[in-house]
Amino acid sequence: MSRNYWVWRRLYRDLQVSELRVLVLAVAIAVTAVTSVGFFTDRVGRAMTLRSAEVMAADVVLRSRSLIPADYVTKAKILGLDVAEVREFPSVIVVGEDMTLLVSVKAAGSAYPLRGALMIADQPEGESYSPGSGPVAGTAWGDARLWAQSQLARGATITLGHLDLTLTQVIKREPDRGQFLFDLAAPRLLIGLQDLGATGLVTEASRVRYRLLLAGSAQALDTYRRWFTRQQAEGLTEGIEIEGVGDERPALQSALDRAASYLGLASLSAVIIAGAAIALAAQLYARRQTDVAAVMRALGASQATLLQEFLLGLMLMACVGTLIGLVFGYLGQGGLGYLAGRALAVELPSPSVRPVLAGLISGLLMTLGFGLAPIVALRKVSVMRLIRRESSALTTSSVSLTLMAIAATTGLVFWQARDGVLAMWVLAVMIVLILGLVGGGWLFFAGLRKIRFGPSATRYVLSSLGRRSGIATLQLCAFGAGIMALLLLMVIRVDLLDSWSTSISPQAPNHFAINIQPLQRAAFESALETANLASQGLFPMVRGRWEKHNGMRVDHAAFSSPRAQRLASREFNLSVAEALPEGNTITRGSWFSPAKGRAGQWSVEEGLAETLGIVLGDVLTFRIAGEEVSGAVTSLRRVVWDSFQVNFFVIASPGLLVDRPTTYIGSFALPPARGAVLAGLIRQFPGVTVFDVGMLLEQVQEIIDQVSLVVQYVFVFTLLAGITVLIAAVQVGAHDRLTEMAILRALGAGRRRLEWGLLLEFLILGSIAGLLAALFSVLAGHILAREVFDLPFEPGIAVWLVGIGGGALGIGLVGLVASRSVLRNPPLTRLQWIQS
Amino acid sequence: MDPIVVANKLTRQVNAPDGVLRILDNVDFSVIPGEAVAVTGASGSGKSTLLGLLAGFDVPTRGSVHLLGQDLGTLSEDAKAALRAGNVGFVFQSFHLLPSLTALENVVLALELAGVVQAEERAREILDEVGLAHRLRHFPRQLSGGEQQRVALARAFAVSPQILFADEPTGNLEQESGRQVADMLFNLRRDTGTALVLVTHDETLATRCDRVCRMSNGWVAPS
Ligand SMILES: Nc1ncnc2c1ncn2[C@@H]1O[C@H](COP(=O)(O)OP(=O)(O)O)[C@@H](O)[C@H]1O
Ligand SMILES: [Mg+2]
Repeated sequence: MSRNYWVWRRLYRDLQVSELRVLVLAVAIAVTAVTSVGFFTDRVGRAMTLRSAEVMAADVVLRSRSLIPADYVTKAKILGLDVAEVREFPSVIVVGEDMTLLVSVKAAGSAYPLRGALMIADQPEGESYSPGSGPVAGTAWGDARLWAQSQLARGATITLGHLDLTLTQVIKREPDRGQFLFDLAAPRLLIGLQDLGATGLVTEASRVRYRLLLAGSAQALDTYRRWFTRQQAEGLTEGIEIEGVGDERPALQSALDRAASYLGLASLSAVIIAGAAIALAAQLYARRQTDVAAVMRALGASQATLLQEFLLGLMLMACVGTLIGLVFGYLGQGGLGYLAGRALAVELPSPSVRPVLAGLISGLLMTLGFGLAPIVALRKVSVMRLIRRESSALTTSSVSLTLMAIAATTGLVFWQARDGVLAMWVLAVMIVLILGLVGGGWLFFAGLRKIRFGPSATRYVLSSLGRRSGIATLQLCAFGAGIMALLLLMVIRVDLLDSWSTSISPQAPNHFAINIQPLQRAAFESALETANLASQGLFPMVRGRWEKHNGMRVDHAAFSSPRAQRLASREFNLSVAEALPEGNTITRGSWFSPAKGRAGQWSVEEGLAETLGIVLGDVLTFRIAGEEVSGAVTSLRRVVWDSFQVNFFVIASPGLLVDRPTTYIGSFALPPARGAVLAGLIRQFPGVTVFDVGMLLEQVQEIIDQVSLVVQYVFVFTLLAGITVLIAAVQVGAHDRLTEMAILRALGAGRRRLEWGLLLEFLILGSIAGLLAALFSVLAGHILAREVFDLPFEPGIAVWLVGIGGGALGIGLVGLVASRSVLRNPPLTRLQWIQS
Repeated sequence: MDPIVVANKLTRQVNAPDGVLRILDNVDFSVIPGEAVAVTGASGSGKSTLLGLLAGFDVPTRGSVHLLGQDLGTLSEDAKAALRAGNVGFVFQSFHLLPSLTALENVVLALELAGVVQAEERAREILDEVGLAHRLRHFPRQLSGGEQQRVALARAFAVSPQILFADEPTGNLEQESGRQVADMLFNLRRDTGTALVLVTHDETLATRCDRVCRMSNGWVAPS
């Protein structure tokens, strides 16, 4: 029989000991939380990217007003990317003898669309299906509106420029539809790119928009974009803009980021609370194993043997817990995936292995971090305890325990949260919580020891609690952490999520209008007013390139992140404002004041400033219509991107952009039923371009809804972890207390009196823990709301009521039930059991 | 003959709430191979403390202990443990069997820690000698106190130790099983020639030893 054989045997039997079961349970819960959230964010993240890609029919799109040179296609093909060219322009078709119809023509290469699906049907009412390729030469497809307005039948001939085409299919769904107004206003006619030349419509004067669609591996796309940025830096990309998923959609990006924060927070709190349970369980386990260790030591086992044996045991339990957690995590994410898939109306990509790895590592790391210290201490056991009962129990160094736990938590938090700010705050809150609990507990118990009044049973309980303040403080911490988990759930779930879901008002604008000329400004504003469309008004906009940073020429390639490169090289939309725009808040410096003089000043959005390394006081120079304009950064602003209001990265002080070529931009909310208003607007202002962001708005709302759901689900783990901690905490000290109770009982104390004593003890612990937990939940809520989520936070009174009342009652009951069997059994059984 | 354990001017003191408490004061003590020595004295007189120091469980404040020819003061904790393995046996007042191992496994574990091959065979043999052949697969909690102490005896004697330390081995047992355990202890000792240090306050038990040392207040009265 090998030595390990014994370990297995003992463990198998020790598993019947509840501390180990609590340990396994705690590990399993933490791992389930980490993996299911990991699986889920991974899948949803990828689904979101796919979904956004669908809206562009590609992963990356190049746009231009003129023909995109062949180099750009060649480069993409060399990198192995899929390529499709698309050209769009408004035109007129002639139907029959005299009928003409304004259409939006799209000529697409055969690979179109690269992402998302084009759906067509043979008849307007027919079943839709996905075509193998685009329209063949000589044929054209039209959307339902074109079929309706032209009243044509299948096979009819239409004339586009010099070319006669046969109308064959109905377009039921076009993934990248709806980017420009003329798109929406006019019916769609789709032809093959090969037929475009024959129409004779593409001339110097025609308003054709060129798009090059690209799709492929993330790596190839990244290489392509870097190449593009270099081209841009050399000034070779004249008029070509590049767009990737989420690039131009800070609203979507910010919703996704925030969603990730919520999920991260949810799984983190589960992990940390489960960590507390692991720490407690390991402590208890080590205490139970102290005699075993001492016996083995007496029999001649070396410290290394003991360490190896108990460590193997601990890790074995960790593995069991981790495996259970992985299985449940996988099942859990399946459920989440189902919920989310329905909410998003997309097929989620299947889970990848990354989260499995994450679960595995976090399970083992947590067990080591929270459970190692007491186990390691076991090897130092004194054999004397076998002959002198009272010789002190093993004391785990609480310093090393705390340090290890903090190290493990820090590692996990930073690794899992992906969001440094969130991670930092979560850690800070947790550390403050623990210090607060220990400190509060210490003060309280010190006070208890001084109590000299009340009926004898009560006094006995109070002073005994006071004397056992070490264990009682540990219990208090655990109860506090458990209750805090539940309260945080309440705070985050109810208060923070609610305020997030309502951050997009139904009045949120779903259309943007750009290119409004200064002379049209008044007319456009009054047109909006006449049409009774809610709008924030029009904002001036001047386009400029960022030339110099503190007098140094900006080198795009010098930025390490692709996002920074992109932002720096792109044309900026600069605005001018007298007053701080609504919904913006100053985070550094102060808003323009006439007192500072009218010298040029900029106000920069804080996220952009961080990405580009801009700080307060920097001098930025933009090139606007060939001339340089400089000013100092006097404030940084925070902008709520997902409010869908018009917002600017950079705003100039009044006077700085006077006489620069200015257009106006505005946003307005258009109820879906009033599409006709839009057609009217566009007829009245042909030069104005209107974007429909309704789809985007919906996407963001969907993310919010779905994440709310998921966050609640994930917090169930926190809840479970909290309950596990409570169980572990009741077990801590149960041994001592129950022994005491059994002795009292043997001495003839009535059962009722003992029950009252126990209940009182747990009531006191529960309400103190509840009070402290409520305090820290509210504090945590405030901090998280302000620093992480940018949301207002007004905690209700419920947190306090539930914290204190629930803490006292819940823990009182749990404790009483858990210790009841002792009170019912005759004292001898208990005492005998203690002896053995 | 060289003594198997020698204590020289052994002093052990601890810091108590009201000053330093001297539990053992300049104790000299020795046992020669095969000899059985009883240590008696009132409760609190320092018997267990002496036993712990002799066995290397504890470290004296002053003085030295030589066990099996080795100065314990020069050995590390691990070296002391290694010295014990296979050479020193123990029997405790509260048995101290490993609760998650069966009777057989408890004995086998001690043999394996002592590096004995064919441990199981030997374990069965010795458990048979203490009359527990039919209880091999029972866990400690399924055994009576007397039976548990018999398993502990089997565990201690399985490795044929040169010396056995016993601290009130019958202290937790009622008379009849106490007598049984004591008989087995002395029989096994006789068969194996093991030296014995027996701490007890039971005078009849003490008289079964070759020599009796009386302790009071940290002093050992010479016998
Ligand atoms: N580590 C210690 N701390 C405080 N007092 C101790 C310690 N070890 C022993 N004592 C005290 O020393 C005295 C002798 O203890 P012990 O050797 O167990 O006596 P015995 O076994 O003879 O009953 C007792 O009063 C005991 O309380
Ligand atoms: Mg004693």
